[in-house]
Amino acid sequence: MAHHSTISSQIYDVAGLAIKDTLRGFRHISLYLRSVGIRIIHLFPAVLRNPSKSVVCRVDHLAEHVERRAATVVHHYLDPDITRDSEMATFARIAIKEDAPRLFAKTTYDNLKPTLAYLKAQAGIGEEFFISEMLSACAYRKAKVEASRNGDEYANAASVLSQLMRQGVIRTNKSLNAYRSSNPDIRKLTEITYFAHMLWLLIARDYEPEREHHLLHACCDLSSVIHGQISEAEHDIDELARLLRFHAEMV
Amino acid sequence: MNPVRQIKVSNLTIPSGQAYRKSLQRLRWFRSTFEEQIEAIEIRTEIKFKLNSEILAGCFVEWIRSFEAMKPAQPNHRLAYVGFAAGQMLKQLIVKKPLSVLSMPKATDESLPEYFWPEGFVYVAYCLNVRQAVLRNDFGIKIEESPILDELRTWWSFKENVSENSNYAISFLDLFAGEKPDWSGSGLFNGTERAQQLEQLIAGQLPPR
Repeated sequence: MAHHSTISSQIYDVAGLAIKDTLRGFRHISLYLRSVGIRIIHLFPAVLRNPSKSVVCRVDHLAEHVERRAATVVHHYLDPDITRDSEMATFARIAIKEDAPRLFAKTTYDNLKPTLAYLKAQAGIGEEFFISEMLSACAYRKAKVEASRNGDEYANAASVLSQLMRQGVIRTNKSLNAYRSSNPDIRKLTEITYFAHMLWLLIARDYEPEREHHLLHACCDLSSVIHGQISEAEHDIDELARLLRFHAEMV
Repeated sequence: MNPVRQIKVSNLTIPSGQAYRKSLQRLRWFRSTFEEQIEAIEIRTEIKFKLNSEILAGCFVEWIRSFEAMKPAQPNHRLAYVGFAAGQMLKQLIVKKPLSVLSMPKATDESLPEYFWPEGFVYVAYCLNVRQAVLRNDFGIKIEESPILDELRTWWSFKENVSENSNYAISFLDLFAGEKPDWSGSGLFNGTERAQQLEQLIAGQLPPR
């Protein structure tokens, strides 16, 4: 994690990430309200259903519009110039970049989406999740302070993993930190997701051709199998580092 | 139909320049080659399978654990360990059952092993192919599988016995592979005995000078 950035660039990063999170949050809420509205309308008596449908259709239209606009702003104006190629998406390569926290946050946001989608389908969970890119960058920065003492790649990754859990990078509509959700299935899914993501960042990519989604799915499946060990390790950095090292070599 | 012995993985794709036995100790190649095996059998038999990749990963983790726990220290036992390790893999697949049948073709001949026990057929074909590929590519040895592999009677016995004691999977794979099975100590690796038997088998299959 050897990189340096100026205070002004850090402020710029934080502001950019905060705007992105806000827009995504608005998009998330509007989509949630739309789905709730559609569900509720079916419970109304027939006489109220038609006028209500008209109202929901308007809200629906507005939500779609907001969603489209927010997506445009996020992707075209605020995303840093980062390509999602496999070489960049390794933990060691991110760590040596000057803007490592922002790069890590972007990679995390991009990767947590397919990771969650895959694991949700496997577990049969329909919950919608919100991923905070700002908190992801924050987790990386905090972990950097802890991890700089030893410098081992797996220990650093374990510190980041622990911080991702603590910061609540993954949220639900009911919980500000899915890792601390009262629903045990959500908690389990979140733990597996974070671990699978870090594992994916750590695995070797020396062979060609590499198919990223296959690698990611292998990381997800393996993390599901060893969930008991991940859960038991909690925030024990040494144990998390050992698990990451052992299983990264296995993938 | 071709005999079971001729069902190969269409293309056991692993990275070039890498020892087969090392590649197969990584989940990514274990998984991709297993999927290739399923596809090859689906095309040939018209049976459609459903793979649970999480259970497959569980098989792999257990297999690696037992593989590491029993790995021989003596270098001259490494070759003999290939067959045993393949048998351990078969054991894990049979115990954990990562495959299920989605659909069978309308007309099937149950006297053929693939229709008698489709999932077991895939597991055996995969483990034999992997065993054969490692022996051929990493050790330069080619051993013909036994004709017993096509006998339905042996498959009945195989299915029944492994359901009672999963360690028999190792002995049955030896039997299918043309090696002499150890029925009394199925789950244990006896390096010296296996190495001697393998030497005899290789010598017996070599053309007379």
